[in-house]
Amino acid sequence: MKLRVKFLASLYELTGVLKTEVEVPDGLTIRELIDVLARKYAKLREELLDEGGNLKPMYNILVNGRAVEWLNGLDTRLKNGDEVVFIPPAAGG
Amino acid sequence: MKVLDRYSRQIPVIGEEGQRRIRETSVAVFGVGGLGSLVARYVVGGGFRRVVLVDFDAVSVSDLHRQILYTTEDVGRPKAEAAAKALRAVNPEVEVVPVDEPISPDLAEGVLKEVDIAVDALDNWAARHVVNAAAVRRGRVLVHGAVQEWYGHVTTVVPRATPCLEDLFGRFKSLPTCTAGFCPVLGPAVGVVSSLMALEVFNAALGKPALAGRLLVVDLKHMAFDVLEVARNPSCPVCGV
Repeated sequence: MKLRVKFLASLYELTGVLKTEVEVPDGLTIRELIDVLARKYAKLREELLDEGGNLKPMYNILVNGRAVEWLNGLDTRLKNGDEVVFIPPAAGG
Repeated sequence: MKVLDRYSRQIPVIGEEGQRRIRETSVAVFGVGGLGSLVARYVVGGGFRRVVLVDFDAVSVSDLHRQILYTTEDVGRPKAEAAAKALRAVNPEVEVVPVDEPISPDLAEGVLKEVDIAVDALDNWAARHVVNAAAVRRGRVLVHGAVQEWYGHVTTVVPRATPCLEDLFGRFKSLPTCTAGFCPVLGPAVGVVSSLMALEVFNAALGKPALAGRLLVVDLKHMAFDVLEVARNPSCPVCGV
């Protein structure tokens, strides 16, 4: 299946890519997608996940415009055509 | 000075009916720091009816590179008071109300009871979520923006119609506050994000918030702008059905 992936703000700096499309096996989870992406973007996994494999508090992931915490977290299963956005929060005012 | 003179560059853009709508709209700006300074400056300049400024902080010298309402002479003064003084000098036709109190659910609800549009220009997620919940409860449109380093984002919450901040950023509630030195930022990046927020306040007052249900993310290091369509979570504890 094909997924659209975006790395926004400082994650663009990390990957050097703003938007990309990836071809991955059907039924992949977000966690597995991060592993796939980490093969190409070496520092991505350690940037996003803590030692326990949890999403670090300062990052957010949206699937089709919905935060994964309201879906099934990193175990959210993806489907063909999904848009996955990795985004750090800007916090300041 | 005639009323038309003050708004003569603006009325050809939004029309006399648009100006009338702005004149009938009141706005609460939560946080009069970097973002809130410029949002308030444009909203007051544009002739909104009433602008409430909520901030419990005092001006510090490290604010002056980005918080355009303040001068070196203001250092140590309460921001809400200093901002109100500067804004009244810009446009005495607008009622400017300073509120020098910390954000709490009661304060946010009380302020929102009296205004039409809320602006979240705060510097920490805990307070942002308090204002978000109050805006949803009161049914007030909330223009939200945040900025850090070279980056920022803006969205508009229309209660019960678009995702609220809990939907999008619920997981950030416990992130450290900016006052703990968490939020380095460039002054012009604050200017861009706050200008986008101010435009969205105008759009909302005119009945068409362009970022309702959309998250605009700006990367000013690479001049990359991206708009994400965002979706509601039906079981959201704040705005869910």
